[in-house]
Order: sequence, then C-alpha cells, then structure tokens
Amino acid sequence: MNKITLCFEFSGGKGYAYVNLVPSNYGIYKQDFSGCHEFQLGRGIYTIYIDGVSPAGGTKINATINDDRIITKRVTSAGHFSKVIEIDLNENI
Amino acid sequence: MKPHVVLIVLCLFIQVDTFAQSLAENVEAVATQAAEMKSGNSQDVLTSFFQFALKDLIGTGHELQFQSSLLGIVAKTDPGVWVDTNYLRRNFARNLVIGVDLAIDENIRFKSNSLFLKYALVNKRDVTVFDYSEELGAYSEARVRVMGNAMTRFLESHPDAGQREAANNFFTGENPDFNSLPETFRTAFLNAMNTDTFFHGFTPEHYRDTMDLLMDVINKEIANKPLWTLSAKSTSNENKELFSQLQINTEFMKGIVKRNSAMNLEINAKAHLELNDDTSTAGKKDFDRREFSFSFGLNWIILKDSKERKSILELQAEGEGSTLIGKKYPDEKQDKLSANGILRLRITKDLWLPVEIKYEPVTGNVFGLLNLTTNFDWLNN
Repeated sequence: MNKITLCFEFSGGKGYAYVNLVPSNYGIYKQDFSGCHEFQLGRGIYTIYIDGVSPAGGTKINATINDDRIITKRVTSAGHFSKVIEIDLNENI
Repeated sequence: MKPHVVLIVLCLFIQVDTFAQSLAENVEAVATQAAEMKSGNSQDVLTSFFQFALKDLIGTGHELQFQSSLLGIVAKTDPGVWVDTNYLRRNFARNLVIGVDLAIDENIRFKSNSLFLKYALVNKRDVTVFDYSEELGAYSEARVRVMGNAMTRFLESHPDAGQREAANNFFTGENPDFNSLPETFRTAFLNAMNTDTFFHGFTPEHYRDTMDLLMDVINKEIANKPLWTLSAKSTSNENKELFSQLQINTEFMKGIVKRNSAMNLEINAKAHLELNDDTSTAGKKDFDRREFSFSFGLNWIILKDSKERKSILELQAEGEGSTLIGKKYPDEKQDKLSANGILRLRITKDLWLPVEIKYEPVTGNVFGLLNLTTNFDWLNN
C-alpha cells in the first residue's frame, strides 16, 4: 500500500464538488471538498469522478505519492457533465 | 414534494433543451454561448463582448455606436483571461462596458461624438459564474455515488482499457448511447442505480439527462434575475466643444415569467439626467439646461427558436416622462410625455434589426428609427 495524498483546488462557485475515487470506491459527497485528503492505495489505475463546480469553474488535482512523486491533473470548466480523471499508479509508484 | 419526485416528473414531461453550456469544453466557449442566449434587450443593457450599432438608418441624421465590455478588450490581448481562475477573478472586467458614439447629419458631416462608461452595479444573471450548489448539490452527490458504485462493480470483471473508457464516456456525455456499452457495465450500472435511494426507478437516459434538464430549468430562473447598471456619458458637439453635454443614466431590468421556454417578459426601468450647455450664453459653460427623464416598461420576448431557445423576436413598450429642471427657453414645454416601442428581430446569430417608435400624445408627433445592431464575440480573430 502506498500513501497517496490528493489535493483538490476548485474554482468557481463555492468549491462545490462531489468526488468518488474508484476502484477504492472512496466517495466524498460534500460541498467544499477543497484541500488535501490522504488515501492508502495499492497499485492500479484509479479514476476520480467529479460532478459539480460552476460552468466557468475548474478543478486542479495534485496527487502526491509517498511524499515524493507529484502528478498534477487539471480539468477546466467542470460544468455539469461529470468529469473523469484517471491516475495511473502502476507507473508512478 | 421530494426533490427526486420532482425530477422524475420533469424527466417524463419536459424535453431536455440542448443548452450547449454543459457541453462546452472551455471557459471561452461557456461565456460565448451564455452571451448568445441573452435577449436583445439584455445585450443592449449590458453587452457581453462587443456591440456595433448603426442608428437612424433612414432618417436625416445617423449615429454609429461601438461598445465593448472590458473583458472583451482584455481577451483580445490576453488569452490567459480564459483560464478559469483568471476569468472568475475578473468581476470588474465582466461588468464594465466602454463605448463611443459618432453622430453625423444628412450630409454626412460631423455632428457630435461621445464617450461613455457603464458598470453593472447588480448583475445576478451571469450564468458563467453562478453557483449552482444550492439547487444542484443533492443531484451531483447522487450522480457521483451511482457512478462510483457502478464502476467499482464493473471493474471487478476486469474490463480492458477500451471498455473502461467507453463506460467513462457515458458519464461525461461523450457517448450517450447506453445500449452500446459493455453488458457487464450495463448490469453494474442498473444495479447501482436501482439500489440508490435517489435514482431508484430512473432509466439510464434519465440519469444521463438529469443535469442538462435541471441546468435548463435553473438557467431560465437566472435569465430572470436582476441587472442594474449605472453609466456616464460625455458628448462633444460640432463646435469642437468638449463636454457640451453630460449624461447620467441608470437602468434596471428583471424577468418576471418563470420557467417558460417559449416567451418571457422583462421589466425595464430607466432614469436619465442630461446636462446641456446653454448655447445662448456663448463662451460660458454652465450646464444650466438640465433635463430629468424616467421610463418604465416591459420587454416581451415573443419568440424563441425551438431548438436552442435563443430569443429571436422581442417587443419593448414603455412610457416615458421628462421634465426640465434647469433653464428653459421661451415657448419650450416644461414637461413631456411619450410612449416608446422597440421591435427587435434577430436576423442571424449576431445581427439584430431594432425598429424604434416614439409617440408624444400631447403634440401628436411620431418619430421612427430603423437601426441595425450586431453583438459579436470577435475573440478568435
């Protein structure tokens, strides 16, 4: 298992977003999900599902693996079709 | 009535408007599409990007007017404004409009020119920055919950990368055809939906369309929200006198018909103070001739196109009263009343043909103006 820290930065509205991390199925269903959240994850391809954020808003995700490697993913204009962000932890761990 | 019951009813009886905002891929596209959805009246009150107008086309004098939001000007020189975080910070630029007028006489000789600034003191109808969380939070939460549960179950069957992508494309709206998806995903999705307290009883299509449907309902409400502007205008006349006239204007508008796709009514109220230099006292700038006017009326959005719900025909009717509060010339009337009307026809996506009529009941005079107005984004050139 590896310590994965996912830091979310939302713009638009009040940082309104709902997130699910699959396949861990770690869902956080609340408003203002901004900030960092720590997970213990094995190797695999993880998918972050986000729904919410105002039309012109966006989402930036920094994934830090074992306090070392950093992957940055950015989605602009989340709008109201759900956004899907894949993070491949096979290559990066 | 519980929210999900309302949603089921909406899904069954209302066809989803294809409001392209939810499909837009970037902030620029969101802002451009939002501008196209505005009524002609709303664009005249506060233009989103650029507006060019030719006024009084068939009369004895003509007027050319160009106005631009500060955002439009900034975007021409700094594409970085379309980064979401930058865009959201540019509140002042989104709400400030700068404009110039040039008036010429029938012999195409210079009559006057003007410079004006307009600022939206209240602008609650900007869909690009509206916070939907209060209305849509519960729906978003339920959608992500179903997504997570469905994909977790689906991944247990070890789908390949292509199948995973196909399933994700259903959630993002890139592949709306549920029946084309792998059977293992369809089973997992239906199980996740049917065991969810919120989406129980929905079809995959209703799940897919939920946000578009709700966004459309909410956007109609946003289009009704108030807009209040304050502007100042300075005019120079043919004698090359700077500041021969000063104007202060304020304008308020608000929609009043709720959730109607086919038409709408907008309240319009305007107040106007005009300070004119008294030309009978040459050499002395006194602005002794002052006129205050107030108008109140309705803009009826008569027709919207059936596909995208853009306004294409509007009729604005208002009553106007004005009074001289400064120096008055002999035989000049102290007060005036008039009934004004503007019929706006949208000829193309950007081009409007407004016809203005003004009737003064006391004198029986009727004035007519034929104008041409284009609202354009001009952002990619």
